[in-house]
Order: sequence, then C-alpha cells, then structure tokens
Amino acid sequence: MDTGSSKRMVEIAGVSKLFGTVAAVSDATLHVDRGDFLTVVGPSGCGKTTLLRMIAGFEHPDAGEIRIGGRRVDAVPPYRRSIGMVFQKLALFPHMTAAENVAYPLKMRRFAPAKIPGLVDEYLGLVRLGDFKDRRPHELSGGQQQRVAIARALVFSPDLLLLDEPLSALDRKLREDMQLEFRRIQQELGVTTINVTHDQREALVMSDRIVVMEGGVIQQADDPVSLYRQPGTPFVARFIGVTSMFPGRVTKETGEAVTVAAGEATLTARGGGAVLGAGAAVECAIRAEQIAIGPRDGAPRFENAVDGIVRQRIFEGERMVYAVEVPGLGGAVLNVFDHDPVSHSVYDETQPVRLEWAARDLIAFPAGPAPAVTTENKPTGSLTT
Amino acid sequence: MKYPLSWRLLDGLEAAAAVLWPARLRRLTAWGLLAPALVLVGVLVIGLGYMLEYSLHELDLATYRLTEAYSLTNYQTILDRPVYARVLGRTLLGAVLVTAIAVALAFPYAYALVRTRSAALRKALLVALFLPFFIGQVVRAYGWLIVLGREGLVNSALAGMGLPTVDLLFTYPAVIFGLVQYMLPFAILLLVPALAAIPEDMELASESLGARWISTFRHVVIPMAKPGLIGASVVVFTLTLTDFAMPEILGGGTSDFIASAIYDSFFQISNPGLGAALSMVLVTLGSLIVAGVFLVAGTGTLGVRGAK
Repeated sequence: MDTGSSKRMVEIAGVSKLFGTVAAVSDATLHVDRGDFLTVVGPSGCGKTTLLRMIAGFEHPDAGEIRIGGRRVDAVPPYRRSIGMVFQKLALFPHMTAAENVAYPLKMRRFAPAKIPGLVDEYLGLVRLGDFKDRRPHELSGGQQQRVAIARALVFSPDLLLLDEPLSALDRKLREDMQLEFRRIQQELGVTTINVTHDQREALVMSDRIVVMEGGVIQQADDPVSLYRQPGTPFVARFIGVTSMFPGRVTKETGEAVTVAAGEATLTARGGGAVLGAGAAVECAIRAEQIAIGPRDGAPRFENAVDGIVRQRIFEGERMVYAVEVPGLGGAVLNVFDHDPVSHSVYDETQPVRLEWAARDLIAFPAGPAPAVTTENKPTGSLTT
Repeated sequence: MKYPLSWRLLDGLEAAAAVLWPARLRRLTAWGLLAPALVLVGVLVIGLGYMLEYSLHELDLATYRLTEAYSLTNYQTILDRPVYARVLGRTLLGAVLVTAIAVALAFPYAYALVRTRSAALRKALLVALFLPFFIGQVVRAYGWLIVLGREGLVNSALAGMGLPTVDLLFTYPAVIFGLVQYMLPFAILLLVPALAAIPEDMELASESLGARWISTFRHVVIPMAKPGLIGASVVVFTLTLTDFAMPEILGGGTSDFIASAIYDSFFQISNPGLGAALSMVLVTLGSLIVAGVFLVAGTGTLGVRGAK
C-alpha cells in the first residue's frame, strides 16, 4: 500500500455488518497507528461494540477488510489473532486465582513453562497487584479486578489491546482513577489500543484520537482537541461537550463568516464545513462555556447578543450551570457555564439576562434532510462527567 | 384518587393480612411456609423408623409373622447369600454407568440449548426435552419392548436384510440403555441452569486469550459447570440406584436391581423383615455415597452459595 503502512497497526476499510436487515456498521473506514490510543465513542447501539467484536474476530464483516499489522485477518480465528481484550464485565475466570488468570494466555499460547511465573509476576507488578496474586476474583475489589483483567490481556505482549467499556460499571471516582491508570500502562508499554465507550469525557481524557460513531456510521475521526474545537456534524457537536442547538437561515455569506437569521435575532457564525449560500437552512451550535452571561444593561463584549430569562440554575462548585430561555430564538433554551462563580454575579430563576458570544464560537451546520430531532435544551451539568 | 382495581385489591389483602397476621408474628412466617415440607419429610422419617424396626425382626416360618425378639438375622442373611451381593454390585455398576453415559450425553444437548442463537432450534430442543416427561416410565419401557423384541422393529429390519436376529431384550445392556434414555432429560434439566449461568464472554475471553474451543471447554466451561455436573450426577445416580421398572421390564428377571429384590422380599416371599433390611442397606449406601460427593465437592454444589 502506501509508504506509511508500516506505522499503521490497524486498518479498517469499507467494513459493514448487517444483523438481519439492520446495518450495525456501514462502510466504516479508519486506521490506528502503532502505539496510539484510539477511542470509538458513541451512544449505545451506534455500532461501536460490533466494530470492536469484528476486530477481535467474534463477528465477521459482511463487506470490507480488516488488517492488523498489515495482515488481513478475515479468516483468522480469535485465538490466532494477537489481540488482548478487556471485556465490559471483565470475564475473569472465577475458579482461578489472579495469577492463574494472568498465566492462562501464556499457557494457551504455549509460552515456555519456565518463563511463565516471571511474566505473571512482572505484569501483576505492572498493575500493582503483586500482593494479591493468590486471590480469586471475588476476593478482589472492582478496581483490582480491572487490573487483573488488563494484566491478563497484556501479559502475552499482543499487537493490539481492545477495551470494551470495561470502566462503565465503576463509580465515578474509581473510573477516573482507572482511566489514568489504563493510560499510564498503555503509554509505558506503548501498546496500540482501541477503546470503546459511550462516555465522551473518558474519550477526551484517554485518547490520542477519537472516532465518533452514530447509527453505524463514522461521523468524525480526529484528535481530542481538534474534535472538540471543530465538530464536523451537528451530532458530534451535541455528543461531545455540552452544546445548545437552534435552527436558522443564512442571509449573507462572506467567506468564513455567515450571517444567520434565527427567530428575531441576527447572528454571525462560522460555517461548519460545507459551503452555505444565502437562504440555506442551518442548525446553529454553541457550547455552554463559550457563552458569557451578564446583565441586560452591560457594555457589549461580543458580536452576538440575545436576551433571555434564567429558567434553572445549578451550582456545581467549580462552575455555575444555567438554563436560559431565549424568546428571541423561538424559545430555545441555551445551556450556559459560568466558570467563575466566585467573583461573577449569580442570576436566579426568572431573572432577565443577556447572553453573548463570539462569532467564531457559533457554528452553522447545513440543516439535514430531516429536521433536527432533539436540541440539547435541558441543563446538562452532569452530562459531562 | 382512582387507583387500578388490582392495586386496591392488593391493598385490601395487605390490610387483611395485617389484622390476621400481626407484625410480631412475622418472624414465624418463614417457619410457617416451611411447615408443609417439614411435615412431609417427617412422615418419611417415621416410615423409615418403622422399616428399621421391621428389619430387626426375623420371619417366623411357622406363623409367617415377624418374631417379637430383636435380631440381626436379616442382615446376616443378606451377607450370607451371594445373590444379594451380586444384585447390589449390579445395581451400583448400573448406577455408575448410567450416570456417566447420561451426563456425558446431556452436556452437549444442554450446551446447544443454552448457546444456540436460533430460536427455532431452542424451541425444538426444549420440546424434545419435555416430551418424555409426558410418557410414563412403564409405557416407555413397553415401547422399547416393541422396538427391541424378538419380533420387534430392529430384528425385522435385520431379518429383512438377511441377517441373523439377535436377542436384544432381557439383557443388562438393554437395562442400561433404557435407564440412560429415561435419565437423560433429568440430567439435561439440571445442567441447563448451570451452563446458562456461565456468561458467553467467558468463552470469548478464553478464545481471545489463545485457547481453541477444546481448551476452553476443558479449562473454563467444565470447571464453571461443576455445580450442575455434580447435581445432575447425584440425581441420576440416586434415581438409577433405586429404579424398579426398567430392570424389571427390560431385564425380564435376568438383571434385577436391588429394588426388585426388595419388592420380591415383601410381596413374593412375604418376608417384610428381609425386605426392610435390604431397604435399609440401599438407603444407607445411597446416603453415604451422596454425602461423600458433597463432602468432596463442597457446599457450593447445586448452585447453593453461602457457606464457602
């Protein structure tokens, strides 16, 4: 193929999978570079788990091809693929100790028996479980079980590590600790990793690259910062971060910037990719942290300004989350984060306020063939965690 | 406020229960629910007590009544007559063989039933599993008589092909065959929940860790199915050990099991003392073997968790 193929550990080209008449994955194309941590993120049922199971070899693509380390794996059974997998429910063998669980892949893969105890100790040490090697899974805490599962998946030095939402069952604090722990181990060993999750925050925290999937289709693939700054579709804008959406129509287009009429307001936005001519219907997206909230009589700070009424206020400590109804935008409710609740004024429910934001922060997407099904118009402070 | 009728009915029942069974009696509820079972088992224990009593009295051949005096004569008779040792040995061997064959055959069936993705296949397997329960043991045994008899289907087929006919009935293998066929559904029924309790991810994990299916079976599926395997073995073993109809009908007197000997003692030679003694030997032997299995396999058997 191309000259860069040696640094590609995984290449997926045009892969589709049908269950009955439903396409779980359609025409997915993506690649993972050697040593990268890639996260496939999307809501449940978006096809991310099916994609992962095809890479692992538990499902077979109906179309397209999957290459691992340059080798086509369509006809390769799972036990011959060099893949370590951590399952959602971990799937630790309950009748084996931690050490026996970790030794299992070494025995199955016919490692020299003399080498096995040393490798088991090394990897249990890597996950800081050296003192727990003789415990059975049910004698270990949730976090310790996670560590055994990851040691078991890595001990035979696989080409690729697959994570199928293993952290989703943990409570928040432990989940955040384990995210960093997984990342530390992954970087220490330099193992190429594909992680699957519905948790956008986990995707942002852990990944070198993120792939957003919805309805079996890859929406966008990019590094976390670019993805957050430049969402390619309204879905990505809504799914990553807390974003408010409202409909509008282009009245004037001047290069990068477009003028949008939305309700009674006239706003300046940047085009989200496609060329938008005058008269085009658009969906506008604005992130909660890009909106400045203030009194109606303040001096103007940004290009765009609308007046609204506070409908809900949630105090989260490090930030204040407002839901502000804007009659001038057809009654759309915008989510607003104020990241300095210590020195800024606090606005209570029913209080009139002015919302302002910069033109570059409002993204105008061409409206899809169908009208937008939902706009994120509820206060969603907890959504980000 | 208008609640659905079923809610109001349940509220009424709860109110009535609160009057009839006040809260202070509530800790007795569990015992109350257990009582019928305890009474049933209690009656059985009383019956067993009577059997023990009978077994300690010799038959007076003059009056054909049991003598008043206590003696161990009946047990001595069992030890002295080689026929009883033979019957007992035949019964034990039969129980071991039937258990091994039935459980071995039941395992793939139960596995297919649990793991198949085809709803049609699962239904077919379930129907085939429950069908035999609608047909009594005796009817089934007579069915085998028709198939295996001298003029039966098998021999007619053999004769049709110009081959010599064979005596299939009234042999030990025929009894074992009939018993395996009879026990198979029990074994499957006990294995299905044990296999269903193994998440499919365990097998996928094993596979992705480098194990072929045969290694996965040996190292993951079978160890995790152990409670079901032991439960099925114990049930099939004890049912076979005490079976009467199959050896009687398919064995035709050539391959009597201990239950036949007990029946004969009571009703053919009218010696209830000897019959009771044989029964006690059977109960003791069965209990010891089952207790031994539970001791070795631990209390986790049959999926009863709690004491580890």
